[in-house]
Amino acid sequence: MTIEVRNLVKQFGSFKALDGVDLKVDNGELLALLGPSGSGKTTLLRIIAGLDWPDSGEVSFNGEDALAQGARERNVGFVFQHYALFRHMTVFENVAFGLRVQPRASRKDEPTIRARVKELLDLVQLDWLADRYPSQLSGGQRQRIALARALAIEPRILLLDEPFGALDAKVRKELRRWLRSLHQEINVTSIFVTHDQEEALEVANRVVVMDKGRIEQIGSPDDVYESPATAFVHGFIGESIELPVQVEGGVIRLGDRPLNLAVDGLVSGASKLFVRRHDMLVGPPGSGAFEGAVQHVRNFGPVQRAEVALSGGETIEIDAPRDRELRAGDTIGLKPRRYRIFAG
Amino acid sequence: MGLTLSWLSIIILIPLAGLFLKSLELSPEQFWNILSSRRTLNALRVSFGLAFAAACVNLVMGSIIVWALVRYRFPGRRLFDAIVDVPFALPTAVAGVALTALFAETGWLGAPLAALGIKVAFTPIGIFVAMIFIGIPFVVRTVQPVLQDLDPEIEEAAGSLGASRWQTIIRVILPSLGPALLTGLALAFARAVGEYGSVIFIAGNLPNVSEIAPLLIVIRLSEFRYADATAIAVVMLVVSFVIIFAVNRLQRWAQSRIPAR
Repeated sequence: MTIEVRNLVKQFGSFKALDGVDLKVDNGELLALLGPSGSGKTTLLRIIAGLDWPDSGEVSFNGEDALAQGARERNVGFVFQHYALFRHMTVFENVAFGLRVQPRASRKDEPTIRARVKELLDLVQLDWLADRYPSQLSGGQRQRIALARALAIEPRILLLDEPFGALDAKVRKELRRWLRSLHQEINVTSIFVTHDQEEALEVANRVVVMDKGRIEQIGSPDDVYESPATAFVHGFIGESIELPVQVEGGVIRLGDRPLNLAVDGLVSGASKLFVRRHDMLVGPPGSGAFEGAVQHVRNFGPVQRAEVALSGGETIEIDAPRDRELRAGDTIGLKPRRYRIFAG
Repeated sequence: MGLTLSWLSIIILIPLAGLFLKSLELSPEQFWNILSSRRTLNALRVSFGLAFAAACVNLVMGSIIVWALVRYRFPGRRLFDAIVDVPFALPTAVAGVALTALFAETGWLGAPLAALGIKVAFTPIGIFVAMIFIGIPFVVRTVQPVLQDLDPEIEEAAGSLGASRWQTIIRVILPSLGPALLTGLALAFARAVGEYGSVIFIAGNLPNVSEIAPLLIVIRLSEFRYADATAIAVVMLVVSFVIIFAVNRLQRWAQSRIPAR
């Protein structure tokens, strides 16, 4: 199933949730919609599911107009952040729900339903919980049941809204890996929404970065990490240092200090310089583009995170390997291994 | 624990025990004669029958009101929400007088209804109307918090799984609200059975037709037939208790299917 979204606009009062979104999702893809809260990613997902309606724009599945159908007819599996399980039903009945509410003509007989539910519970590895109620399950188990329930109707598309958002860090990591392998197994076109960049980069084949109702970049996880298309994407993905700089006459200045960095192809004017925290190499004073005094050092496993007051006045945080111990009060030179400059 | 029990005893159990003791002054035969008299039986039938019918109406209408109050945002919602409590707060006699004035043959609603040949005030229908009026807040206030707690997402989930609106209501919403609905029904019923003030104004109080059991008790008391009064009271007490107990069991059974979160 391919999904095509064209020029989607949705407004809530004076808030523009979607501001002209175009997106194409290929068959069998596992796509992540990544963005901060309020970026419109959940609204986009809900419109694709038929739980919300756009003010204007088009949504089509395999070329046919999806907006002509309600959520019920679209045959889309939807997984909610807070599971939305039916708490008065057992796990078994929750999963069976979609099969039991089918129109009489296409409804399967009881043994077929039972076999199908069993199969799905096996797929999510929770067949031993069939007779429990949702309240007796852990968060991770509930979300897997919610997924099994969504898959019961053999959806053409699977949509997941912050599926791991309510879970603790360890369970999230497990479920991420599990979701990716599940997707390889069932191979249904899937879109999931997340504000967690690590989740998006780890699970998805393709990542759509959104901000303020617009798509900032679409690309593979490597693309959006290695070559961010906009300042927003660079700032949002990976831990970045952001410095306001001036480009003028072939020179980049931070405050009034010229930086010894290449300026090929840059537009003159106020710009933003982005460097990943771990791309700032530490050297002796005078060895790099920047110089600064170490204020404070914390150790995080393999790296030390140092707060450095640059001589231009800005204070930045860098991640340096532990081979050379930094101490508060040291004066160091900093050389960006890789950096990007965006106008504006 | 001791305090709770003592308090419960003083407030509820001792008066009830007194009631039973008083009725023991009657021989079983006398007791039976009082109860099987036509007037007593009719009064009990009017009280319990109409109270049950009113509670059922309240269950349906109350659920609709709750739905609107919880799920929709409309101008004046808070005002309507407050108005629901009026039957709680209004002195019952005031409610009775107001309803009587409204439904009397010259009243705003009574006149058009009379033109259609429907007489409300001073008939059993009047009792029914009064019982609906005083029972509605019980259904609304017991169901409201439970519905507020019910995540609208489960309806969306049901819809995206292919359930029609009707299937969603029958299979998802009603079962989740079941225990609260039963409690509301029981409370509205209990209140309607015991209602006196508002009913006697509108009822007409015709023996055997529109005379409610509590009124009959008062009449017997004013005739100094205390034993008769307590006999009727005991029957009301027992029947009410049995019904409330049954609803309670039913509710517990329904709740056991939804373990606490």
